[in-house]
Amino acid sequence: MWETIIVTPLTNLLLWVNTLVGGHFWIAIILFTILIRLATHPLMAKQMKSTAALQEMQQSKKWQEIQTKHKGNKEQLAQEQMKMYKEAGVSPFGSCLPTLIQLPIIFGLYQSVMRALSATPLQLTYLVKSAGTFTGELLNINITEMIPLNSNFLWMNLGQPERVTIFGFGVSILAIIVAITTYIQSKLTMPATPSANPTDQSAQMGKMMSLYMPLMLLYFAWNYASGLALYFIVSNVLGIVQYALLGKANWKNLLPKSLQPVTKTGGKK
Amino acid sequence: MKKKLLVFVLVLPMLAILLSGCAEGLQAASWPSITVEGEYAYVAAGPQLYAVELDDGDDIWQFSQKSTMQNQFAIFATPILTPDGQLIVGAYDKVLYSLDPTVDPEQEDNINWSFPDAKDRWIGSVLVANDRIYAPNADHKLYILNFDGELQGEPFEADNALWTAPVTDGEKIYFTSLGSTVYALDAISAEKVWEQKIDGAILGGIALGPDGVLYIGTFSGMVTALNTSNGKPFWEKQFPGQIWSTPALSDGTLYVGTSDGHVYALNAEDGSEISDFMADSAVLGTPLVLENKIIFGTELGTLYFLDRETLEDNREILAGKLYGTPVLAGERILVAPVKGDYILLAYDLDGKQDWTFTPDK
Repeated sequence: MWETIIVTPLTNLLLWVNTLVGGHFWIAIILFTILIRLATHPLMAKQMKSTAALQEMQQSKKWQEIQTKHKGNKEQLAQEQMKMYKEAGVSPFGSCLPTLIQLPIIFGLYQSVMRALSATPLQLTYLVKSAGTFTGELLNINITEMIPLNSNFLWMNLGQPERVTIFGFGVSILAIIVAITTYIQSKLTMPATPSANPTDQSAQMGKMMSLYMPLMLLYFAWNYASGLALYFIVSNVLGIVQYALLGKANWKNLLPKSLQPVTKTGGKK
Repeated sequence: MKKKLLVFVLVLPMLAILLSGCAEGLQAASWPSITVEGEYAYVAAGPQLYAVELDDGDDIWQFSQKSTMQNQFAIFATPILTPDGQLIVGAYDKVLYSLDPTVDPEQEDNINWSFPDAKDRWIGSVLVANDRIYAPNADHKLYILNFDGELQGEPFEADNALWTAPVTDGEKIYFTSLGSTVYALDAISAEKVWEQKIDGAILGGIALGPDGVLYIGTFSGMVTALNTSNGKPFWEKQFPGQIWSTPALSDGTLYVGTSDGHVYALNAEDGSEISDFMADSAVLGTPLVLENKIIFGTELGTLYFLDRETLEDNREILAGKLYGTPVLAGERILVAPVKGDYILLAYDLDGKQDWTFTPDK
């Protein structure tokens, strides 16, 4: 099921893009990421809208009041919060659901990149089978002419983890860029004004995510094929561009706290 | 908050597991390969290299190494024995190992030496000749080592990954790259003598004829015969299916299996077709050609015992896929399926099962 619905069509799409760009697999990954980002743009826009509405509501006076009022009664607090969500027409899961929907695409993409690069004869049999399916025929994939794919990009083999030796240590430049761009992206999506409530769980979760996500992706990019790291970087950059174009990027968050101007409201709308 | 943090921390490894392995073929894997030497068969079957007694299929020893996140340990390349008794095998952890086959690694260390300088996986097996080890790696390089594992000069860099074993006629070393190129190097100086581009990626190796001809099958379905002295083609023959393995040469006849289930017999002199047998599915391995029989496996797990003259077949259906090449061990035929019930199976020459091998835990 997963194979038929996600991995095989994504693999064939990636191979098709690879043909369009003359067999330069790194360009194919970049273009493919753009395609995926465009396809998931409505989801992302919805996520941004929900997040902004949620943030706005959680910074409202009424929200703060019920936090204080029902501090000792969790059940009552939850009921009041749900009431507020209903009144504002906001779903507390509205901001994370689109992300969850995107997750299978990320996993599928990684698998399709690995399959396309087929580092072993057995993996190549899977690639040949993928190309022989309905989507492969629809996109006119000629696997015989494509093999072997050109997996080289600058100093890297996109099918292998990337390493550059610096002072005797193997360092992954791409993984570091992944961590930096992930950090920037998550910072840009946080509210410009931190929550006044020190016990605000969503603010704390957001703060934690902005540290945790870069570390998690750093780990993936460091240890897995560099083709995945390239995908993460392009995806992050495109995400930043999307936030900026939709006017949801809080650039002030990138400044050190001491340099941030004091504002009363949330991020730019 | 702590509960949420805990959930978050637990979810992350799950995501990592999902990312690393929920689809078939994501873990680097291939099909097993077999070497027979004396009383033993050595089977490279993924996480383990097995030494198996030929008489009864008993487990003699198993060799393995720890995998890391970046370097998964697995062996699929055919192990090769040197004249001084070393078992040379490359692994997917990018290390080429020399093992002492007389030592059980559970009792004591059986690694004579290891060569960790390659940048990619060892897919193809090595060639041992002229007191040297010619080792092709997927990092595009052919490494030449002495029997102590010391590099002899600069490795030769090809245009693409090297997945197959070199062959030699004593004067030159011949090998193919995945990128459609056939190379000939001087066996001693390792200087390039010639290189020849042919049509289609080359997944199989070279069959070296006694008359100075190299026979190669390509992924684009072409069989070609090249002149060993200059690399120029004598003839070419196109087939509809892909060719994944080395053609088998016997008594002036070339046997080639294809992905669309054909096994062709060709006249090695001019490539003219002698016979065409249609199997039940893809034939990716090299057929084993005996005096009266042709033996090969198919993707659907059927092991064919074909009469060489009449093409009448006797078949055994196994669990798993038979992508590899059957190996002759005295009066037995050994096969190692992918995703089968057993690691190794032995048949007599009439196709009757003799024993099966599953490793001791």
